[in-house]
Amino acid sequence: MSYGRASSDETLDSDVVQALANKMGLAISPEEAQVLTSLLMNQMAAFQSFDSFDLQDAVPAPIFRAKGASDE
Amino acid sequence: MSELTDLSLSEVSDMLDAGAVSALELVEANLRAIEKTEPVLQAYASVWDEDALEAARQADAAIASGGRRGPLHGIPIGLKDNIYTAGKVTESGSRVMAGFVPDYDASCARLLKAAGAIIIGKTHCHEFAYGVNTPPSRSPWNTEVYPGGSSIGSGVAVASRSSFGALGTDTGGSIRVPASINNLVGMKATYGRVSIYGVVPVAWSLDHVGPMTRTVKDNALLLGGMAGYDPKDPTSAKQPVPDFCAGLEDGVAGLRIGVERDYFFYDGVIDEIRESVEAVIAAYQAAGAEIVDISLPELEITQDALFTIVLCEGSSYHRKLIRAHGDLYDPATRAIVQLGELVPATHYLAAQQARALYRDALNRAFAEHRLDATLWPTMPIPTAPLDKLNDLRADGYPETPITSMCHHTFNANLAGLPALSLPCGITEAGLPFGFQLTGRAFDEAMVYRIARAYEREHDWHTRKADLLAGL
Repeated sequence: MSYGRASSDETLDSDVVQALANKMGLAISPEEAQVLTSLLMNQMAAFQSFDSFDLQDAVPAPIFRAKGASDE
Repeated sequence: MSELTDLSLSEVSDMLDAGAVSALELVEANLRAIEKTEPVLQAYASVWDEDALEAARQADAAIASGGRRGPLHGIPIGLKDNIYTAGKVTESGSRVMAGFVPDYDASCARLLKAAGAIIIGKTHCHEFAYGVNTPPSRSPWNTEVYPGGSSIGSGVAVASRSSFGALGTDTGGSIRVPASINNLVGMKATYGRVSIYGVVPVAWSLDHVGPMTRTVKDNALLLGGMAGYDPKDPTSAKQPVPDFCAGLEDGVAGLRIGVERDYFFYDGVIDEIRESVEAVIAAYQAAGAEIVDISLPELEITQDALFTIVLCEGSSYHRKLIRAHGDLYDPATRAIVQLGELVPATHYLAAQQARALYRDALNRAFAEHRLDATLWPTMPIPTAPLDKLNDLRADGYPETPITSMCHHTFNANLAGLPALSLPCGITEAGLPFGFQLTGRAFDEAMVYRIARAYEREHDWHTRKADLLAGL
């Protein structure tokens, strides 16, 4: 899980995160915004790990089946 | 502690068959165990003492007049408190659901009741099964360490002999992790094998319900009581349900077991676990199984893929709740729920693509190598002190304990394949740990067969926490 991942060097402004969250209807204090900003940066860093694989032809499966698309 | 509660579920089931014990005696024994252990271990969110006693009397009357309905008839079990139970409080470990009483049973609970099982209580879980807050349950093996989650109370209840078996739920390892820590057998069956209708979701495409028990046979019996197609659950699979106990004693001669070493035996695996799981592999080889080395480089993206899916699907479920009752969430859970709303949809879909890539790679490995199962440690560490879960590991490995504990379990949820944790050792510090078998889709029977072959020759599963003797 990404909880323990070190943040990337790129920064994200917690004011921006708080404004976005508030706009979405989430009541977030400045302190919570800072925590959320750190978590979001971790998540952004995690996403980069996907780049090491070619996902272009992998079909996302919102309806998931363990054996693949032919499993009924 | 009553000797009756030290017996396995299948043993007391046999005694019920023989008329050597009554359902009432079993429930009373469990209630006595609960009375002794709960002040220290706190496995249960609620204990249904009167209901369980009445259900036991009814079971005994029914057995006396018409025989047993099956191997679960008259057996007391616990349910994780995120599983709906009609007319009984279901709080999913959260103040958000305080006092909530469903008006229907989750399908798994309905099926187990129909099979004659007696619900003795609901067990504690992390808030909404996210695994980030700290429930009150403590492990009988060491009350200072993390007892595993999110099916934390179910693990503690079975390990402390206050239940013969219990249900957990598993989105990223929440059955197998507490099973490993509490010296239990924990099974996450194939996705779709057990209905998740009526279970508070974490992430719909990853959620599983499954049994936690002290033996492989107990586990197979419980799974048999709740598996099957459920039209109320769109993720439920139309697959026949076999007798999971039928081949339990068939051994492993001629079977092929895959072992992946780059990821599952990485440097973060402590020596005691590494050596013990190597000994497990050697034992299978000696018993006639063929060990096949496999490579799965796609494993590197499984943790990020699962976490991204959990964030997005989970926050979707909580979208209204977090706005209406945000102040009632534990701050750690609230942060995770809020985070999910800020993750772009492209990340979610890329995570689902990564998941498909891994699932296909693992299924391909099963096919190309003609594997019957794969084998690796359930976790790289046994557990960690409760107050150190998010610090860097004390042994210097650059990872937090909570990250390490998830490292080996996420992949089975992504693949949707059946995965079982079985006890295989206890560290010098007195902490149990297990190894994990993953099987082909809907071939839980093979996973049980392979697990039983090890269990039959080793006695780890019979070990009991010293603390229980003093309660």
